[in-house]
Amino acid sequence: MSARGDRFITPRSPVEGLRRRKLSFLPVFAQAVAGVAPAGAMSVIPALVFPGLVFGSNGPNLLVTFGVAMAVMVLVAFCLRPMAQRMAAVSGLYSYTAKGLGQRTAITAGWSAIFGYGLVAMAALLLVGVYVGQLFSNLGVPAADSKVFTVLVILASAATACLLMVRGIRISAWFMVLMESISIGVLATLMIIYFAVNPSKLSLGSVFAWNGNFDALPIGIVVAVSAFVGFESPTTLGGEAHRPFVTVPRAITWTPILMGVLCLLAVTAQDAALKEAPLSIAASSTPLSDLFSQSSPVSAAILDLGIAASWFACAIASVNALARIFFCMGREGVAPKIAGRTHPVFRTPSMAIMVIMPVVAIVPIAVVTSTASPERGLVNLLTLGAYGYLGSYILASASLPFFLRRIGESTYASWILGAVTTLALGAVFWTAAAASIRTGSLETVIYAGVLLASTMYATFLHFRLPRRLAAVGIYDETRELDLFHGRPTP
Amino acid sequence: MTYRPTHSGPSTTSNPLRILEIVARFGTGTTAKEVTDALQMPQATAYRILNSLVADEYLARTSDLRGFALGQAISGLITAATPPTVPTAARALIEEFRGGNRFAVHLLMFRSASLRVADEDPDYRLHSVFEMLRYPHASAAGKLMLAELGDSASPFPTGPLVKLTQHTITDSGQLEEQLAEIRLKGEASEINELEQGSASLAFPVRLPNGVAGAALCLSSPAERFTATREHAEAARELASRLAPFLF
Repeated sequence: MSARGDRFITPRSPVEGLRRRKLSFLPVFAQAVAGVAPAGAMSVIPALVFPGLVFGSNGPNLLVTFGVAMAVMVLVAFCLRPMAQRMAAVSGLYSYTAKGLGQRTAITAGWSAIFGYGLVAMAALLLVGVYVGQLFSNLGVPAADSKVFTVLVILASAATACLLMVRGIRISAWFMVLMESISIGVLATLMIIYFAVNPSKLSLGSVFAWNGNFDALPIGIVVAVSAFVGFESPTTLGGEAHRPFVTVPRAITWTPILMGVLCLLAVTAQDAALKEAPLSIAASSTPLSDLFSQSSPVSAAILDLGIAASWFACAIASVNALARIFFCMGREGVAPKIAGRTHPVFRTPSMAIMVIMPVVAIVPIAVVTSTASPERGLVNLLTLGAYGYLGSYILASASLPFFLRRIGESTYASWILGAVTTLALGAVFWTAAAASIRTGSLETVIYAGVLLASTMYATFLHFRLPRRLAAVGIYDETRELDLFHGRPTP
Repeated sequence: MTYRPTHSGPSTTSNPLRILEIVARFGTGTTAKEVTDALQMPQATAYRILNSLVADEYLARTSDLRGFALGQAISGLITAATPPTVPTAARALIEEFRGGNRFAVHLLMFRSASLRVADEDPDYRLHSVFEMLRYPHASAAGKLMLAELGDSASPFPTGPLVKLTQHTITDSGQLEEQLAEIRLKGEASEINELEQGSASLAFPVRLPNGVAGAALCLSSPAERFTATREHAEAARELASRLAPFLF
């Protein structure tokens, strides 16, 4: 090897210890799909966060709302794609930002992503609890104390998820494939049956009707965007995916498109179905399930199972992604070093997973045991989580042109794409923040606090521990065995 | 659409190969800019091709993501296309063994799961060379290679086993059994399987790590197979003496 080459190939990878390049495309794709939790998001987010979107005749046009949200997310995917084609990242948008906008900004992106994944994982566990409880009540099994039961379900699912994730990325990813197949299959089948039985209720007119209501549109788009977040989570599997420069970009490009189509179908169906339903159902935290339980409790129970499966997979996907970011931070030294330890046999970031999981499980349990309604808790967790995702999307999208310039592959298109996407995301973010401030909720303040804390931490690192900050941005580098050495291969 | 040959330069389909050649010549750390400059290629085209070559692991990026190096996926092409070279000392050993014997002695190398003729007996030329290289299940050296590969690599060819003579093994179960036996005995043989009327014996020449990298092959007419067999011990000894010269 040439002298020039020696400087460029490191003998040891900074993310040594993970099971390298073994995961095939389907599990990687499942990580993206599970991160979005289509069945869960389709049946919960529109109805829960913005009832008007589904229920009210005053809602903005659904096609436009979801179409615009999908377009924004596809733009984000197009921004992440070139970076995913060039860097086998283990910490996703965090390492892209480190390479693009620099290490200090990366700390903010990383904290933002951790915040997003963490809160969505908490909401997902809470929803598993809620839907499993619903499942038993639909089956007519009385729970002695519904709160205790929900807490037990949350604990059990957190323990199972933890076990699967520590046991191996392949097992947890294939489990997500299974869960997603069940949930999407169940939801699709029940929807088709429902409309086959009640064809009269379906009127496509309202879906395509344009009532000129522009005021509600931006808020609708913000809510719709929150249904897509999580699609970028396979960018944390760059080290473990087989042929990562093919599988990861493919997964993050197709997931928002697939999700957009699924969402449009589901929201259309729900809009038609819930319009006929009483207000109590449309405003409930489990609207679809309540709708079905009117006519057939068994099919409602099956639906609950499907949605619970989807949220369970979402919890695994979110913690999988979170743990890998935390793991990288541990290796870099900007988080406790213990997080950087991998399991010697299962080759997963086991320490990071085991540190995170109790925190993720405790919050939903606190929500259940507190006097506040779970619906309120869910709304807060999901919207706050969406802020975290949006923040990291903005920084990562803005990183694209700088990332490419730094590696000497800058193009005009990348500057335009980066600018347009950042502005679009900024508009979404601004709309959400303005609406949140107007209604007097603390969400924006909390997220601003996270941003401020991360900036202060980055500044502290910059002045006190510059060497640790300089280490930020590790990824699965090319190793000697990836290269051609001119030796015969018998 | 009518085909019009272009005189302005190589066709665009060969661009990936030209990029690979540039990286091979410039060495590890060649940048995208160096590639576009050397080939006078539009940037966007070069970036797109570079990224798809990286995706398929024909190229790998260096740690700073700026530079490129040849990836391990290219080794199949290069090792299969490069003719094996045999050092003079090894040739002399083989020549000494050949002297006076009434059978052919060939050296065949295993390259990217295929056979390559490294040293052919000048007195008794190889018969059916094409069939031998193309259908490893029918020759002694080929079977030795297949036995060595095991399940780790899918040998060329895939699909049903071609029947070259009426003795060729075409049942994959039977072939597997024979390969297991070859692994055990450390030698392979073939009578009338490749070509009616000829037979051969093959002995492994092993790399320091124990993997067979070449086959020493004794060929003779089928009726003299038993006589050739008597030289098995000598051939085996030659194979072990050849190893340090070859690998």
